[in-house]
Amino acid sequence: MSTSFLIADEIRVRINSDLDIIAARQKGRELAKGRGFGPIDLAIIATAISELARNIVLYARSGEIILNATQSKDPPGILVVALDEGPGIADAAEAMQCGYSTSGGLGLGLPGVRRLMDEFEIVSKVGRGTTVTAMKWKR
Amino acid sequence: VKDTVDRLESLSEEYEAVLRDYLGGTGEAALERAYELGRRAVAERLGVLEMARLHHQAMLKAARSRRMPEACIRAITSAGKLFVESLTPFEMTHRGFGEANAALRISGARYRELFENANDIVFTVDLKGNFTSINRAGERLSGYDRNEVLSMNFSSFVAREHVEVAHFARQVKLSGEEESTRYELEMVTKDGRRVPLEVNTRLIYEELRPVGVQGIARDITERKQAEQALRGLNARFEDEARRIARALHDEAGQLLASVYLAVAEIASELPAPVRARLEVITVRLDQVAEQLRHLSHELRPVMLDDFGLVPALEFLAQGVSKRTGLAVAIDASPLGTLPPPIETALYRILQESLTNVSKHAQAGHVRVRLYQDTRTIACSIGDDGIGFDLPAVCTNRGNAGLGLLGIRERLAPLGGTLSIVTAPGRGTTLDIRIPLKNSRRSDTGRWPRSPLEQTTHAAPNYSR
Repeated sequence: MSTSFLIADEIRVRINSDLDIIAARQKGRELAKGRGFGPIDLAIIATAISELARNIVLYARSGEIILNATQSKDPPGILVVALDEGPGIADAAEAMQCGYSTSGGLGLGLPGVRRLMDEFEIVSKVGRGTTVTAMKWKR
Repeated sequence: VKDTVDRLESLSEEYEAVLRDYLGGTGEAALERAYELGRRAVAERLGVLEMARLHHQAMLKAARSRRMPEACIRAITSAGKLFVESLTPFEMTHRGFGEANAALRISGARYRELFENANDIVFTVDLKGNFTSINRAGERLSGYDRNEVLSMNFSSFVAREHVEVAHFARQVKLSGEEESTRYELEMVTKDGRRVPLEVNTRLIYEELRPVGVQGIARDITERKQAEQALRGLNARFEDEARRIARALHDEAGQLLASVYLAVAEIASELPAPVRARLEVITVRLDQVAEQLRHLSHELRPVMLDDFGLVPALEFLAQGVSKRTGLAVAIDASPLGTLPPPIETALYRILQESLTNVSKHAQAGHVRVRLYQDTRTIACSIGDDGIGFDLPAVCTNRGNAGLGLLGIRERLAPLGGTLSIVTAPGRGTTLDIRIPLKNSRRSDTGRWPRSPLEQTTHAAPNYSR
């Protein structure tokens, strides 16, 4: 996913605890609302941030959520990046399968984020951490 | 996207109308309309969040038209947002369900293709034997179309005398004795032809309880024809061997005897020094006679025709003992009359085995046991020799002699089996079983041929 079209003022939120998840959701919602996203998309972006931040707290203890908006306004997009330096995932493709996640096959977690957002990418290495990038375009 | 917005728009207006009516007191009729609206929304692939949004907006409109206080409208707005948040996990699950369904459709279609395009008959039956599915190969080979098969029972698909075999196979599986069964039977096609099939079946379970049987049936017509041809060839070979053996034993033997007498007559009339030279010839004639007898016996033991199997085997054993010093004991329980092809096969197999033992086993003793029940004749040939590494010999194809391979080839057309028990330093025992058929029916419908028997006995490319 190319990031060249992003504006420079990205928002970074450290994630160490559940309280930080609330802050990240708040920032993401404000950013998207400012770009004219509707209430459903706002809920979707907030949910994606929740799931990604939850994973950081659960598996990596700490990490970062980076939020950004596309420069182009046709259509506007919101980018959510989750970064951590945790244990990583041996088989990212398998982790994306329904039923693998801790959500017990209900389709939540990472597969859920992929379904809610328009674009999704995961890069992970065992011992080197995980980076998830997800984009939502305005409808 | 425009389309979705339009559809959303029209649904939204309708929902507002329904809500208005319902709040106005139309009761169940409005509820029913709401339900139908929900169905349409699902069909148009609207999500959970979109539905929540629809409701929320309709709710706000209704509140405004009723001139509710501002605080009340603010509360409804906030509550709507909260409601949407709480529904987003459901939206994820909802979408996941849609994806899983699509994946299932694709894998289902692939499975269907595999099932339909198989060359073998693939079928399922319930526990009563009623067909629950069959593929195209099943239609093609049986001549019945799918709907006809699905109203039939397995037993009406099968030759009457083979129904029992299928029945027995099912019992074996249900009792847990075998996980899968493999047997042969004949199918009767719609136009009355018989087709020999090899059937592999296993149970279908639902929640750990058996609910049916799935099977794959292969048309083995060609194999049956090949076996029939091999049987015919063997029989013709035996006839020919018998004829030549008789000729060697009787005619050539007689001729030789007359030459012998003529020479003796001439000798008696000649002076002693010349007679000594003729005696060299009579010694040579003795050797020729011995060779002829031996050859005749190798071709076809006249004993077999004249005295029966056990005396012939004993005679064979004595011959081997005399030539090689191997002690051979034959232990036979009383045998009924056996079909000539089986007698010949057993004779040849013992001949082959004793040759094997004397060549390779470094054994002192061989014990041959022969016994018979109503269904089979069994023969075991055990030696106290050096044994061998069975798997190693099985894989060593370059070194394949004709010994054990020949035994298997003799057994194949009779439906017999060979199993070998051996290990280095432990001697070798061959166990031979040949099924007996007292009726003239074909040899399909044979039982048992369990998978276990197949794997332990099948080592065709192996010989010592």
